[in-house]
Amino acid sequence: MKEFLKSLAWLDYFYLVFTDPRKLSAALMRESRSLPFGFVVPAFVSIMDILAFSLMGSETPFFYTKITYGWILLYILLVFQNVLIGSLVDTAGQVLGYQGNIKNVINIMNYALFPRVLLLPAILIFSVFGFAPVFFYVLISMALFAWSAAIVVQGLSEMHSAGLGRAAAVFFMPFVLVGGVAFFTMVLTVISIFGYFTA
Amino acid sequence: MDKNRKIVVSILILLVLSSVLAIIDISLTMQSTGRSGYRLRTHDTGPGVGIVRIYGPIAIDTAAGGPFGMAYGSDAIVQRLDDLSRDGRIKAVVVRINSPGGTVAATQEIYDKIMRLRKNNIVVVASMGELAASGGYYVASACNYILANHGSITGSIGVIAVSPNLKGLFEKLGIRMNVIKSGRYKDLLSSYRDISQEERELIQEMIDSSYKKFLADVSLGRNIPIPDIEPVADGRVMSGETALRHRLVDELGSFETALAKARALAKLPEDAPVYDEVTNPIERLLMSLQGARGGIDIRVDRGALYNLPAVEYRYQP
Repeated sequence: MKEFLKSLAWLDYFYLVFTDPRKLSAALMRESRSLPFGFVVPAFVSIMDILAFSLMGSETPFFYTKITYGWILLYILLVFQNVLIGSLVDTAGQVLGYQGNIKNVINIMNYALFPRVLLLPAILIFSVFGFAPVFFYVLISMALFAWSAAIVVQGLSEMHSAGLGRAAAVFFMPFVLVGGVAFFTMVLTVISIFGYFTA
Repeated sequence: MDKNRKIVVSILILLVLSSVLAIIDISLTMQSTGRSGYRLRTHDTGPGVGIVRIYGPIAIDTAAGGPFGMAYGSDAIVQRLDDLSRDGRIKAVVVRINSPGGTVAATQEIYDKIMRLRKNNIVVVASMGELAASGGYYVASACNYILANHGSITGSIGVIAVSPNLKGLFEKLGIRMNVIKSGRYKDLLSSYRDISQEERELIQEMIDSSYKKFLADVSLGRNIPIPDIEPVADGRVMSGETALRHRLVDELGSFETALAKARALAKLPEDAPVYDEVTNPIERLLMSLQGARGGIDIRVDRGALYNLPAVEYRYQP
């Protein structure tokens, strides 16, 4: 790992995140040490996320607690989110006939988070000049989420040697399924509660 | 290191720098607001009251524009007033004054600008701090309404020109000046010689002219006949309370009272927003790098530094 860090090869991954997600996916699959290093990205993103969100309001001294310890909680949540979504995406890939490789899926998802760090400098500018920072926070967050999703889809496409459409289907299938299940659960719950009170 | 890695390193440095700036911004905002609960940073948009601060001696600064293009001196005050008059949200302006006055021309420029705001139906209220004397009072007199604190020092209606006479010192040190001039008055108020009677009369004429203008402008701004002002327009300073007795101010009250009065005069609701000068900590930091504090600060005293004689509406204890 020490040699990997010294070689600065990890810098290339960050470069490829922005320029060529397909090459990134291929490079990550070749280098096993990229997986543990990839968990640094959610940590970096957690800190930047907390700072960007804190810029939206007049903070209290709780900010120092958030930036000292809160980011660890957010980091754990991000890692958990990546592992959970990665598992579902990998399962979806297997359902569609591709070979499963959860490590690679989680790895590409970790690196795909990296563009989110750009939220802070962008929001800092809007915040300093007082130009609708909250609006741009939401807008840029959505754009960066779409960017991350696009990186993962291209990475999956490279990983499974599949077209972009199939890779997108693999990526979005868990969201559609989980969303659908959640929606029907909510509808059934509401009907049950309504029935309970009217019966 | 190849080019691509250098780009990534640059991005990482930018991100670290952004983080540091964000932490500074958040910390400074926390200190300045002193709130105990989280509150979303929102920007007011409705009709409200603008704030202009006039702190320190008033002068037109010749070194215009710092590295960030900010104007100094009375130009900055006039610019701020101009910005507020163009801002559709601004229905009233509170001019916070803490100044002993300053040069005649700079003071008159601010006075004229405030009068223009009044003509544009923008209510202007003056709020005196510790000191609003001479030129500081001149500026206040242009406002629709003046509030002073009980202990504010004001008045000092008059004009002064001071020039040190260092002739004796020069003689003691054996220093003699070589002066080649085109006219007899070209070295008027020189510090190395006595002033002649003719020269004194010339300066006195200028002082009298400026004094008459001072009286006329105070009379116009305050809507008080000149004969009613003259008895107290002998350069005396007075407290806010005495000034109220002589109708030089309208009410005793703090800055908060001035804001409430401005809202009332402009028929704005009691919670109408206040548009102060630069409030963002990072913007303040950038301005402090070029010497402008909190947006506009006219603390310029080049005359004192270079010992240049100047005719001033200024209280000089």
